[in-house]
Amino acid sequence: MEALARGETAALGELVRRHQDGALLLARRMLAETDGAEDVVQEAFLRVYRSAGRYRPTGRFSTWLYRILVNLCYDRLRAAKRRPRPLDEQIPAPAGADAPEILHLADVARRVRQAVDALPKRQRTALTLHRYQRLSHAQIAEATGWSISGVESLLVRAYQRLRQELADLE
Amino acid sequence: MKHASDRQLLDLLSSGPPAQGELAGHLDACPECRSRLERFAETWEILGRDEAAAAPADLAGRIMMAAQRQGQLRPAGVLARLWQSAGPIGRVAAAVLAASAAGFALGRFTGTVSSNDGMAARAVTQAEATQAVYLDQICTPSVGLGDGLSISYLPQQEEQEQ
Repeated sequence: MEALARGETAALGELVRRHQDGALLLARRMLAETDGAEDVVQEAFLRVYRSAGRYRPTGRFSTWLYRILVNLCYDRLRAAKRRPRPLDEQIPAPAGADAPEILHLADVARRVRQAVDALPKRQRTALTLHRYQRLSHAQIAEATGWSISGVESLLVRAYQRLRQELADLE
Repeated sequence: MKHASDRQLLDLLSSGPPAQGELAGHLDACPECRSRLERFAETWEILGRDEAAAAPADLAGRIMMAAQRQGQLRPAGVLARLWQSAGPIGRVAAAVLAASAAGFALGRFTGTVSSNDGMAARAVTQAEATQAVYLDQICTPSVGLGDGLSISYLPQQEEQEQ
């Protein structure tokens, strides 16, 4: 970030390579819309680029990036004013899996995704940051601007609901 | 220690099991809390079966191209970086310089100007000038706006003189 603040555009490339997978995963989970997710990730990195000079390294860079991303996703969801549609993205099959196993794994992945997508927006955001970005409760609070106790409450409800929804997969 | 809360157990999933401390000791001793933690861990593991695919290979390239386009179209970015690197004293000096320049420009282009006969004249806007001439024409006796006052822009007057 210091290099980027000095105007070294190549530093942006390094940040993108390091964080693009996590950022895209978060945007896909929040929006459940693959094309839109890539647009949002691109805009998030461009905002990082534009405001690099104002960045103060008080926390992790990824938390700052996720905060920008979460806000952009909410803007997009508000603009769309609709529930996200299910992803039609292909589930990657693990190497060496045979055909029935691939079908079974794809079915499990689809069930999980549907259950996560069906969560209320704030629960889905908190759960995604917790499970897929592996942020602590405090980091989620920082990334979303919510209180830590609010985040914990959202997570407890999200996990309880998912455990019920996916009980037959355990 | 009381039983661990759901919040404490969930935090362990992302941060890892506690190596020591009160919570670690309680989990060792309490099968009920261990069982609850295992159930959360099972849900955590199931959710992991939907790890999304990696970003497309061209995403980074698209972002870099967009950033370069913005960089070329945004000369203000250079100024912003200079501003950031100037330090507090440099910023104050730049602000004073900018304010002085703005003040000079305002004074030069909209302030008092000299009329042909050397009298100071007040610059007025085109709308004000038009309004003043109109008032002079309809008022009897004249309100005297033209007396001792040179108006810097009077299009109607210019037309009459021509």
